[in-house]
Amino acid sequence: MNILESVKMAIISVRTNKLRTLLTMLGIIIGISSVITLVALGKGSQNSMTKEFKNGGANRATIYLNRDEEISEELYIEHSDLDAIKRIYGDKLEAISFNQQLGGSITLGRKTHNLNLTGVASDYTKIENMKIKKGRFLVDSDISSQRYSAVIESNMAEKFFSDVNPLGQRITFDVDGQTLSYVIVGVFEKPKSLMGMGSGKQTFSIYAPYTNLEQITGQTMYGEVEMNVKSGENVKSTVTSVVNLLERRHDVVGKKKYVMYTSEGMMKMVNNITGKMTAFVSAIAGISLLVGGIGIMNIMLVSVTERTREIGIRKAIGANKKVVLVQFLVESIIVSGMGGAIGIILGTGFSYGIGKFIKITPSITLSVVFMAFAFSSAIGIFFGLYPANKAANLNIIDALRYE
Amino acid sequence: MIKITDLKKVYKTGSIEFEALKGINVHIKKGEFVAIIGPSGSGKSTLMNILGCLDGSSDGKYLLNGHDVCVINDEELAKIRNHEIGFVFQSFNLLPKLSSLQNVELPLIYLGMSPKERKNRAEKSLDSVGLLDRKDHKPNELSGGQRQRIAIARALVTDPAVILADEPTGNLDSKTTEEIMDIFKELNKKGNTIVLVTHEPEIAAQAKRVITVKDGLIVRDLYNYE
Repeated sequence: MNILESVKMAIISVRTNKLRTLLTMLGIIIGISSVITLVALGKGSQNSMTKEFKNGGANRATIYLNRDEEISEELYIEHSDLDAIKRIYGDKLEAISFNQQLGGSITLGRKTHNLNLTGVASDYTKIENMKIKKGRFLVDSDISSQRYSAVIESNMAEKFFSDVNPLGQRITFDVDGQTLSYVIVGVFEKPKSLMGMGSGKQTFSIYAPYTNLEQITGQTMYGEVEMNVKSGENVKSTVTSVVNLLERRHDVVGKKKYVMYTSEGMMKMVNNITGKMTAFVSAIAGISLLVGGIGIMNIMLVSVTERTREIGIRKAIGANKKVVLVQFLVESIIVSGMGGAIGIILGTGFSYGIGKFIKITPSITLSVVFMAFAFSSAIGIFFGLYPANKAANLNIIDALRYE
Repeated sequence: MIKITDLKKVYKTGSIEFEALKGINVHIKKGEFVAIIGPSGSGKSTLMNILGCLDGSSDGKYLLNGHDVCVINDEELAKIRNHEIGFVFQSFNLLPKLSSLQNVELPLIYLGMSPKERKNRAEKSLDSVGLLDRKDHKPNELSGGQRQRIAIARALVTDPAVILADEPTGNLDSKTTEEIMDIFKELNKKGNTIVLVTHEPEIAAQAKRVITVKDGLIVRDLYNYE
């Protein structure tokens, strides 16, 4: 007898007990659908985080003074360090920039707004992801002549220059106890970011030449330097060699005075954590699969008892042990496999439903679907084996007499 | 066809042994119509079960159509039940979820026949018991006599060496009993070997040969001459 006949027979018996079959499947349906949902949403959030990092510059890195170590004045990064880095590693770096920030305020009408004045180099757009909407970003001549040029964010342009073109206008604000006046050369738009959201009160961002800020603060040495490694170059090894260069120049080789932060490393870490979390939560959901499997075994045992006479008849007219075993095994695989299939469909639905609600695009891969189906079928085999074996080994005469 | 030599069967329940068959010798030739008769507890059902390869013997030899049934394994026994024996039971033993045709097809499925050929043979077999028009009915939609005829069709379908009927009329009224017995006689006329177990002398009298079993032994073996 071939397997097709066993499948036909199993379908007949599954059909005659529709409600029971459905209830038996429920455990598997719940288990598989929750695993699918969790994995899909976990992967989806991983994907969106990876995208976020890519947008924010996956090749971005920062070297800063290790605050855990004793820091002396000589360790701060100077202009000559920057020049040396550019000279030696310039071909591997897309951009490198100092970064100096000052908090301040600006008044419009009766309202005072907070602002953040950041001094950067002209290639800073290659480090921080931003879109220039109007005018231009800072250029080399702005830097070298320490000009009072400013690039303001688009929200600010709309608020302060709603009816005039902001380019060429002067903007005046208070920073560090001084009142400063800059000429607007450009307007930029901040990228929409999940991570930058929700910091409460709005703070406007303004970029100006770092050389200009050095004039204002008198600070010409820096605790950190930001850079963007050219794509195709190895981020970690490039930044490590820059760190080594700084250590040599400041005579602190191997003393861990400088540390680095790369978004690549951060991305890996975050992905690692979400991956582990997803696996952990899915494993908990997987427990319901175990419960579902026991449900199948329970019903299959009931079914074997109920159908003792049928088994006796089948054996009397020529079914051998193997045939009976296969028939019951196929039945339990059909129940668990169907449960798995329904679970996959429901799980897909759930993950899109929930994903829409929490704004994550779920990622359902073929391999996850395949694995879920294979796993549910395996449960059918595992938990069906004992009842099927019991059926196969029934004594014919006793089975035929069974009422 | 069937040759039984010194067949014994001992049942053990704990430490108590019960000898159901104490040494049976019987030889049934092809084309015979044999009735095995005896009171309940005589051992006739035990003999029937062994003849049908549903149960093994404790001692002795049983040759069925050339197969030494005592020395073969479980899988081969299943094959013999399938190929060589057609069962007809007192309680019909049809599968309630299947139609008449599907019930008759069942032994052929285990034989490994193709669906088309299976259907042909099953329909022919149903036709021979006069129930082809009921092929799509389920057993519970049929009368007792019709059910037993379906069961006979199922027994016939593999063209077995012997048809074993265990009290086939036990659940039927006298009129239907007659119908069923007529079918058996007809089948025998066509050359089928039939062994029928009963406790009713009137039924046994319709067979060509009557073997009487008592206390695990054959006490009489007579041919009826018409």
